Amino acid sequence: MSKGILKTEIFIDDLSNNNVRYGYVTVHCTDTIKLDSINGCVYFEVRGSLEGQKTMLTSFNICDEKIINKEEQYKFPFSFEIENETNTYIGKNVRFLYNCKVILEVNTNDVEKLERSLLSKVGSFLSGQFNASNLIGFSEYFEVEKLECDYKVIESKIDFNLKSNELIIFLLAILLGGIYLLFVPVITATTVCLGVLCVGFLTSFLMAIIKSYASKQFNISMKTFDKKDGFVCKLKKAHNYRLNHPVIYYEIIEKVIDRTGTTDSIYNEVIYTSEKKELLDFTDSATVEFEYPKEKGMYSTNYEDVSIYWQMKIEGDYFGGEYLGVILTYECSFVTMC
Amino acid sequence: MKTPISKMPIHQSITQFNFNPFGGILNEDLEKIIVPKIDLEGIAIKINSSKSLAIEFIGEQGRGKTTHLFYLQKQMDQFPLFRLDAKSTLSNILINDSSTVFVDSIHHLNLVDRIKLFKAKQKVIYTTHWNRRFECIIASKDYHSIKLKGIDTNLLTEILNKRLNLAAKSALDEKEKFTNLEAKQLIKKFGDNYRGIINYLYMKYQCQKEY
Repeated sequence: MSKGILKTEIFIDDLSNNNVRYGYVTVHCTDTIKLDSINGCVYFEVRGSLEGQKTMLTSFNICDEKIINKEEQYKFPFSFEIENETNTYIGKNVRFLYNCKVILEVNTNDVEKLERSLLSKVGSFLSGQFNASNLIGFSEYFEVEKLECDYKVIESKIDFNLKSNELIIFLLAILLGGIYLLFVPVITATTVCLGVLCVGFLTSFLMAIIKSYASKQFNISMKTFDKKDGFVCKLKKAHNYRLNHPVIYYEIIEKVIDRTGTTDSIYNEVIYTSEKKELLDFTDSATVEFEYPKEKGMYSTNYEDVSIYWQMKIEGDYFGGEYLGVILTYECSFVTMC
Repeated sequence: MKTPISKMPIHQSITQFNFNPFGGILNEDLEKIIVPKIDLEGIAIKINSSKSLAIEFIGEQGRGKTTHLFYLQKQMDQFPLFRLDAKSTLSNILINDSSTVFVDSIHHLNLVDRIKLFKAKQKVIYTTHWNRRFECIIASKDYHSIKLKGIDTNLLTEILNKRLNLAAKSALDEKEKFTNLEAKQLIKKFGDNYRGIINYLYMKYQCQKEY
């Protein structure tokens, strides 16, 4: 005798109303069976260039004890609510998805009526055979887009960090290497190795001192304020110094840490760069206005090994640095919400 | 004439999938995509029957050490798995009562801590880039090393198609699946770097931008 074939489908409405989503599940079987229950759950999934991550957001009961008559189509409506939902996001190295899973619990007396391939399997190669349980699970991915959601910068006061300059590090290492060579009578493998170690250590040490001094001397702080369709940055220098040709802009960066395997990998992708604005007449303070990106869904997010963060950057040169290629780069992160 | 790898056709549109088939997978999906290339059942029997044992999965990056370790631990989930990173300490492992432990990335422990671990726990199953024979000898541990190296065309084809099936919205036709010839071309470019192949295909599918 042929086994019963069960056909199921999940439908979820596109529109959400106050975070409540509505949907229904259809069930059709070629044999009469009894379902002890139908339950659903919603998961938030993070997939991409990282180990997949899954979190259950909510679970709900759809119905209990229902006879599914042979060759009849049944429709079971359901609804669920997700709080603080993140927009479905498709980035370069990561994707945020929502998955609704529905589980049918078949009455144990009717399990044998159904095709075994439908039933979930439990067990392992150590515990012997894989046994079919009485649960049938199926799922559907759906989108969450808070279309009405506008960006909003969080008001805050932040100090910029001065980035280390590769050219200065290189010139310092060359200078220290030259001094070391002056004092070495014979060049051998040992003195070269010793030299590399000494120069490396001294360069790091001196760069730390220079950076500490420069961070205080060339400190810039920023206050952010939200305004319609954009935000305002008020910049202030701690000391009076001249920064030539300064420009300011912000970037939105997608950061993904891939912990798969024995060595971690970090992927940083700039997903948005704003217009670069000249900081005219930036003697001790300045005010700049920026627009938010037209594209939605890129507000600050932090989830396990994934973050989307906004970073303000100032670039300029100091004391003829433009001729040497010594550009001072300032960075600071600021937070936006939906 | 052979098809250059950069022009290798992708038989599917990304719209056929719920997610990129070559992204990282969920722990619960591991069984659906793994094709073990070593006798894990034999190893499990060895673990259960031994009193003192160290088993290492050794190999270069991207050869499947961690995947095999995770899969084995899932089959023996009465024993804990520790995923080490730069911040991990030995005490995190020793505090657990289990005499058998699975450890991913044991290189995050220093030499002294590795010896302490081998002495403290009866059975340690771990992944490593370099063999830890020395530590096992010092700790008087029965040492067993399994090198994950090499790749087989049929095996790779099966792995790639399992990933396609897992991500597909509906069943794929045979013509939409990878062929042995395509797997051979991938092996020619990446050698046995399984993760290199997966990452390459991830980017190839991601670039379609047609979700």
